[in-house]
Amino acid sequence: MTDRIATYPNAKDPSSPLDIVPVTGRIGAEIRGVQLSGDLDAGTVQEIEAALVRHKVIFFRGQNHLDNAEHEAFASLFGDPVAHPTVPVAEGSKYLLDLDSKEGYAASSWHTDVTFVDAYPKGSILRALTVPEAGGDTVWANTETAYEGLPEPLRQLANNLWAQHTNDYDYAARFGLTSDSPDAAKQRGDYQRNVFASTIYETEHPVVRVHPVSGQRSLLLGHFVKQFVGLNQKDSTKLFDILQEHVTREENVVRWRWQAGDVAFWDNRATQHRAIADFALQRRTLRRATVHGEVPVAIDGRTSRTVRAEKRTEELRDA
Amino acid sequence: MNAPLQSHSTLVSASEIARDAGIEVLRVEANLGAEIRGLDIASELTDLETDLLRELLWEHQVLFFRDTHLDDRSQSRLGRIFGPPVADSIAARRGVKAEDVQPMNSGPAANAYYGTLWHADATYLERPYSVSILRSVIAPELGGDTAFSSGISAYASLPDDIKARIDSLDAVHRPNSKAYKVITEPEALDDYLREYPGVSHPVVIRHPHTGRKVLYVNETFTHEIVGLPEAESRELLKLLTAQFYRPENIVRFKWQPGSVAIWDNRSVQHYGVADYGNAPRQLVRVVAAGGPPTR
Repeated sequence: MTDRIATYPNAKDPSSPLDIVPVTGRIGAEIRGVQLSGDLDAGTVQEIEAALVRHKVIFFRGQNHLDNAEHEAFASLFGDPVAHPTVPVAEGSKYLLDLDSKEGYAASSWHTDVTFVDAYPKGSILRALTVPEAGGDTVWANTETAYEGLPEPLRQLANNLWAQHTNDYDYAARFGLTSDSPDAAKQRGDYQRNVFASTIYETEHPVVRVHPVSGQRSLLLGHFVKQFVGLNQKDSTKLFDILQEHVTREENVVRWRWQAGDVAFWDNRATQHRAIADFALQRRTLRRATVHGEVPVAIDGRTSRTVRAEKRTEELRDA
Repeated sequence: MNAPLQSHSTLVSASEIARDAGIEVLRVEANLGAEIRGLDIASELTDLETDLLRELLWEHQVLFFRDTHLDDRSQSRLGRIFGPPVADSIAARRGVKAEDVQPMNSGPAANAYYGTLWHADATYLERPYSVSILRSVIAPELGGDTAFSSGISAYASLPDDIKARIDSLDAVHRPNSKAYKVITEPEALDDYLREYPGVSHPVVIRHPHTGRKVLYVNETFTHEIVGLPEAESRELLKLLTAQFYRPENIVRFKWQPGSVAIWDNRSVQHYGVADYGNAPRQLVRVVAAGGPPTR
């Protein structure tokens, strides 16, 4: 039986020197005994990166010592930190993205970060500053086990499918914010048009991406998908729901209850995630660093391409 | 969708009384779930503790206990707090009696219960169980969590037009193919399905103790909405059952031997997460009888 348990995709690699405690059968692990900083030695960085690729999202508790500069320095050990393509950086930082509930912001719909551009980040590192007493968790889904779990005919279909991703979507419809007050809806709509999609991006990605480190296949979907290449909107919507539901089923999901000082580091090439908007008016602030990623490669070797990157003009703004 | 839930209208909450009695109540998620510490559920409870336990359950919908010393006898006794024991409709055919605890094995020995979709227990009965109590005997090293999803916050998060549309509807609940995996002989299966041909329940029920409204359809046993054309019924059921997938309505529990979950089978549905391969997992269940769900 012991060797069978070792075949869990999310079991600890026995050769890793890190203190790793996996969370579920398929995704997520807490790493203990590491103080994050820009000064970690190359060996430790390599082990963290290996754990990241294996467990998809890794958690570090008690990193309250991190400030913006140290957060960025840690991120830079894994590649070039990049700012969000459209949202201004957090005050007092070079690359960090502010996620603050006072802005009414909780990305409560499943997505992979920034997939509306071709070389979207390979990893995101999120640090919790203020957390609600209960609620405000984040969930991540393993898109590799999602691919493996597809029935063979669906896998065949996904293998050859491409999808167009964009940041120019109807925010209220996407997040189901039908009960927003007119003021909140206008504010949210203005932010969407003038900030988040101030430059409109459209990118074509394969639905099945081959991981540049592990060679594993994963489903590349999430809420920036507009439609599948060659399908009309109606068929796209139905097919998207079918595939996306395979990604987010409980078997592929880990849920993290934040404490202030926690850091979550996810492999943005093999996961989707979503905030949980159940914390009402409690304050929830987090800060995110992202590391520059590779252009995704399909099974047949073709690569993703950005087909539109256009500054929004007044006419588009009024549209 | 981000509206805070209204707490039900008691002046002093059960949690506050518990605190005064030295019992710790730790909310797990914003919308449901509490871990209870400092109450020994393996011992005989006082009247005060019994009342408190019921109130805490109605308030938090699912309660979790760690490192209990519950055994078959004390688990049965605990179940009677919530109502007379009932034998599972399938187990009863194998001669299991109402007062027996029911082992739910999975793993290499018996995989009939390996993973389930979202469901409340036995909603295909006219009187589904009021409360279920599950205790872990063997837990896999990794995985095998149970997730619980609240029909109360699922209902609350629906848009007003949908609420208005479903408030007066009924739906048909029937045993599903899960039964077919456990009952292998065709004759026995026919006999079983004749015995449980399906039953109609309101789509939205009122909780018998708190009066809160609960969305009461599940993707495992709810087959159709009464009086709607088939396609419309299917579309509406898909929309309603999908509310239970939203993480806002969910709490997730990792089992260790001795862990116990007590859930209000009217308020919540649950889901057995099938991510533990061939590892052995054994849980033992006791259920309490309930009344017919009403509007």
